[in-house]
Amino acid sequence: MAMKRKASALAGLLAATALGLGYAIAQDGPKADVIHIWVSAGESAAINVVVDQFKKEGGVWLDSAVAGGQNLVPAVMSRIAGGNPPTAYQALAGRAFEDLWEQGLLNDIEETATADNWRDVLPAPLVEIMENEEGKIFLIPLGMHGPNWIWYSTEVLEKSGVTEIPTNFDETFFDALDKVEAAGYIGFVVGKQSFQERFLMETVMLALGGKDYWNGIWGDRDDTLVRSDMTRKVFETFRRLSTYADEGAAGRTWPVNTNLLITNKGGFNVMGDWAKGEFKAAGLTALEDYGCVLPGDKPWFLLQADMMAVPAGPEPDRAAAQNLLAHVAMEKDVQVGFNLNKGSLPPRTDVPREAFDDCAQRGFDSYTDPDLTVATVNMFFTPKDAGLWEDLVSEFFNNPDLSVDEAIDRLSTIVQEAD
Amino acid sequence: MNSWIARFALVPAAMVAFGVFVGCLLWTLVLSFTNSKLLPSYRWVGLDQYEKLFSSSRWAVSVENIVVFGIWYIGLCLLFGYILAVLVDQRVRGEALLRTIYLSPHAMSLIVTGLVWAWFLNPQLGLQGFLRGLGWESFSFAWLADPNLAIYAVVIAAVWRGTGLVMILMLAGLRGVDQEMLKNLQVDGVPKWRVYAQVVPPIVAPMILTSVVLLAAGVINSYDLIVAMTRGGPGISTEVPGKFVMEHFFARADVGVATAGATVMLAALVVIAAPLLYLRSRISQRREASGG
Repeated sequence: MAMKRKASALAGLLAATALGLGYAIAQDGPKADVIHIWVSAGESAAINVVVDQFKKEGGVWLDSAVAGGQNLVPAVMSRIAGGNPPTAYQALAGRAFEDLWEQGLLNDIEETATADNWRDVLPAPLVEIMENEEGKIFLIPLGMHGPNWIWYSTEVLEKSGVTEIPTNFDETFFDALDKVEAAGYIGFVVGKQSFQERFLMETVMLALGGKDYWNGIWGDRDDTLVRSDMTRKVFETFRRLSTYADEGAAGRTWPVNTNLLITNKGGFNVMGDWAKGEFKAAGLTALEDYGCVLPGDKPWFLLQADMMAVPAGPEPDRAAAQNLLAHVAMEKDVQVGFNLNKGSLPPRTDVPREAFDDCAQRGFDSYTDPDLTVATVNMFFTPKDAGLWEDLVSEFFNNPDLSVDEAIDRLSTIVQEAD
Repeated sequence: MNSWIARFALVPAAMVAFGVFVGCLLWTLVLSFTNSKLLPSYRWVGLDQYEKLFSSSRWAVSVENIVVFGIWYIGLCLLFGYILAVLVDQRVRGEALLRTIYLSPHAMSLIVTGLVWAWFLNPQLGLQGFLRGLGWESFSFAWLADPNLAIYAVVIAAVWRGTGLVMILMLAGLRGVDQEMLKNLQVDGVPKWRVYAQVVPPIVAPMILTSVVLLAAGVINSYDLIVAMTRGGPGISTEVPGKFVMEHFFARADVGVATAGATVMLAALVVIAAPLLYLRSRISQRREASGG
C-alpha cells in the first residue's frame, strides 16, 4: 500500500516536471497576446498571415480576438485598467490614445521603426499620425482603408440608361439616381445606422468642399468656414440624399447594402473599401461587374488606418515581443498578404502592386499622393466630440424638421466647444 | 449558539454585497463630479458633467422615451397580465400548460426578443411584406422606420415579453382571494367582470405594487431590447438612458457624463420605487394587524 502510494507520487512528480519542462521549452520565444476583431473569413485569413510569420520568426502568439467592433474598446480598456494589458491591440488611429498616453500606459516601437527605416517607406501624413508627442512611433500600421468611396453596379446602371459615371455629388449624380429609380431599381442604397450616416456625410463634405475646407473646419476650427455657403451646400446635398432612402433602409447593415448592389437590385452605395471584400467574395470583378469612385474634384483619400497599439506592462519580454510584432507586420510579404485578404491597402509604398485589383490601384494612386490624403475626424476630435458630430448627422438625416440653419448652428457649437 | 454561527456565515456575503454594491455606487457618484474621460481621474469639476448631461439633446430624448415607454409598458403589462391571470384562474383544464405558454416569452433573452420582433416588424421582410405579398397591397405597419412611432414598436415587443411575469404574480395574488366571498357575490347577482374589475384589485394591491416596482426597474435599465431592435434609431428617436450611459462609458470614452447619467437613473428609480415599496409594506402591516 505504501509502495503504491510512493510510486504514484513519483509518477506524478515526473509528469509534472515533464509538463513543466515541455511548457518551458515551448514558450521560449517572445509572447504576444493580441486583441483584435478580425473574425470573419477574409479577416481571419488576413491576420493569419501575420501570425504565421510571427511564429516563423520565433514568436509565440496568443490570440484574444473579440467579435464585434463595439466590443473591442470595452475588452481592451477593461484589461488595461485591470492591470492585465494585452501585448498589442487593434485600434484606429486617432485622438483616443491621448488619455492612455497621459497615464503612461502605452509603449512605443521606435526601436524597430528606426532599424527598419519606416519613415522612408511610409507616406509622410501616415507617419505623422503614428508618432506621439515625443516624435516616437507608437503604432504598427497594418492596412489602409478609405471610408469615402462611391460603389455602383455596372449592370443596373447600364439597364437604367446611365451613360455618364458621376465623380461628385452633383447634378450628374442625382440625374443618375433618378434614372435608376425610374428603371425600377433602388437608386441610392443606404442603411440607417449612425456610423453609415456619418461616413456618408463626411464623404459628401470632403467631395464637395475639398481638402482645405475639410482641414479648415476640423483642424483650424474656423467658424467662418462652418457658417459658409459651402457648409450650407453640403447639408442640403446630404438632405437631398436622405430622400432617396428606401423603406428597408432602417437599421440595415452595410453588407446587406453591398449585397443589394451585388444582386443588381440597387444602383449606388457609399461605403468604405471594406465593401470590396463582399464584392470579391461574391466573385465579382472590379470595374466590370461593379465600379468604384473616390468622389470630389480630386480623388481625395480619407486616411483610415488599421493599426496595432502596444500597451505598457511588467513582463520582461514585452518590449521584445512588441518590436518583433512591429518588424513582422511591416515586412513586404506580410503587408501584401494581409491586405489582399482584407481588401485594404498596404501602408508601405514600395510593395509590388500587381496582385491588387483595379479599385485598389485607384486607392494606391490617391493614398500615396500627400496632396490627396486627408485625416479623418477621429484624428482631429476626441471620441466624445466625434460622437456629438455623429449624433448631429444622424439626427439631421432622419429628422426632416431639423432645418439646415439649426444644424449649422449646432455644428458651430460642437466645433467651438471641442476639446 | 447556532444562530450566531449562522449570522457569522453570512458575514462574507454581506461584506461582498456591501463592498461591491454600495462601494461601486459611491464610486460612480464620486466619478460623476470629476473630469474622467477614458479612465477614472479625480480632478473635481463640480456639476459640469451634469450640466453637459442636461444640455444634451440626446439625453433629453432618452428621458422622454423612457417616460413614454415606461407608462405604456407598465400600463399594458398590468392590464394584460391581470386579464390573463383572471382567465387562467378560472380553474380551466390545462391550466398548467396555459401558464407555461404565457410565461415562456419571459424566458427569452431581451436580445432574442428584440431581434425577432425587429424582423417581424421590418417593412420588407416581416408582417408588412408578408401581407403585401399575399395581395393586401395597402397594408402598412412600418413603425420601426418612423421616428415618431418606433418607440411604440419597442413597447409591443417589451409587453409581449413582460406580460407573463405579471400574470404569474397576479395569479399568486388571486389565489389569496377568498373563494367563498366570490361565490356569495355571484349569488347576489353581481356580474363576474365587475367582481374582477372593482372588488378584486384592492385585494391584490400588494401584488400590483410589486409588479410595478419590478417593471419599473426593468424600464429604467432597458438597454438590450433597444440595442437589438433599433440601435437607438431611426436617428436618435429610440434612445434610452441605459444605452446613453453605456455608449458614453466605452465608445465615447466619457466616463464623467456616463456616471452622471447613471446617477440620475438611480435617483429616478429610488424616487419611483421608494414610495411604492413603503405603500406596499403599510398595506401588508394593516392586513396583518386586522387579521388578514
